[in-house]
Amino acid sequence: MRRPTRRQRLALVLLLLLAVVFVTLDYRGSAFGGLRSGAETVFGPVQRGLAAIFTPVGRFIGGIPHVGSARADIDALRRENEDLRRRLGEQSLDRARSEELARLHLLAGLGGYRVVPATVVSLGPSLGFEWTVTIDAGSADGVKPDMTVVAGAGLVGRVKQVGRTTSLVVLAADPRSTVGARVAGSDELGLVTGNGTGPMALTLLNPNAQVHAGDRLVTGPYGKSTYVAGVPIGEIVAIGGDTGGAGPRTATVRGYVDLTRLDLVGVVLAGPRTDPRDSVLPPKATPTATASAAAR
Amino acid sequence: MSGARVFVAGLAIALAVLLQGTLFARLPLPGGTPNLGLLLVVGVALAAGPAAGLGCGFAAGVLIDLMSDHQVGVVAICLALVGFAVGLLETDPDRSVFWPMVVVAVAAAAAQLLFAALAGLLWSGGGAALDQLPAAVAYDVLLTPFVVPVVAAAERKVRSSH
Repeated sequence: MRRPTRRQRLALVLLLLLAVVFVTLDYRGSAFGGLRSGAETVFGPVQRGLAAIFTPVGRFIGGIPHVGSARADIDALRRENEDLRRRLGEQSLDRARSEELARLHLLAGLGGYRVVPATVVSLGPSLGFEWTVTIDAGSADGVKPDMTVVAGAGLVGRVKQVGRTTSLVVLAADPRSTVGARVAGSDELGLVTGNGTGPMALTLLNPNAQVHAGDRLVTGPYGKSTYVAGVPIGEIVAIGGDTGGAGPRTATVRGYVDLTRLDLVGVVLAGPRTDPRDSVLPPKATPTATASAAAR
Repeated sequence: MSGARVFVAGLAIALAVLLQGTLFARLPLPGGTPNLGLLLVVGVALAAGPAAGLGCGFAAGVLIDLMSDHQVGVVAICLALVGFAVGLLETDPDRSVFWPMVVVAVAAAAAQLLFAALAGLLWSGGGAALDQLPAAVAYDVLLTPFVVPVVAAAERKVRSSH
């Protein structure tokens, strides 16, 4: 163990104090808004470039060819084989992406949303998983802070920080994220809170609300939330204890979108003129699930 | 610290943080992700001592904070402390790779615990950081032989050219 010199100890104390001042400033307001969007604008293009290199690498991580030491013609045949196999893989990937894009268009069409499609280029670089992603659409594409981000299956999150060609999206699974929700087919309102990898939590505003497992949730109400109305959020999987009207009713919610494997998403640039109500929702899952919930 | 060293360190920090988001965080690994920024800070601290570890940790932390959603300064506190403490150890990264792996394991766990504590304090989000601790530490240790000797060699090269 070395002993730190006086100067080194002083530097440690000063930098830690500076960091605490940063945290306090940022906690109280948006003191770093300019710096953050500056970093987004500077590093966004680099992130896009790196993602262009690495995304195919990640996708084909299982398909790395083995280096053989056999004769040249065997190598040539192998290369040809690998190339064909890779092309097959690419084709199925392309098909998967085009299906995802079609689903996104369907959702946009059903809800009357104007959507700009984007690809995830980076996840949060922090210690431990953070529920943010960087997408390759920014102010140049018309993206603004607080816009709703969707995937083909439903809600993804909302735009937090916008750079010129990229933006930072906070996912609905983030423990600090709260989404105003409406139970489909009724006018019961509630708040859906993120819970990391676990299922999200719904807190209903009406303590006597009648909800069941299998009930579906959409964003809403119209005009009262930062989120655009009518986007499918997920399905209630379990109801919390009945508090007899004494406290708020709670339920756990499974999101429609798998937020751990996001690729193609869409930013809602403009919402519909009227609330799409329940028209964007996928059909109810299975009648058995609803029946067992009713027998609860 | 000469200008060239600061420049090279800044470049390495930016590269590590960007590679972390675009590549390492997206690898389909179960349980957690390795943290390249932390490995870089530990490597610099082992090769160049507490002052370099402190500066590098603070800079990498602020950059990570700016590119995240939480308050600026949180990761900076974690990495600056870890960089300073690791810099005080007299472990020569050129002699063997075993001790650097032990140092990385302890440093990664300490940084993550500190982050979880601060996250719990500021936005009650400590749980997610803790869930990932064992796997993240294991991946960091596995990556050590590929990162720490490279950082040490680069540091020696920059130092000898001045």
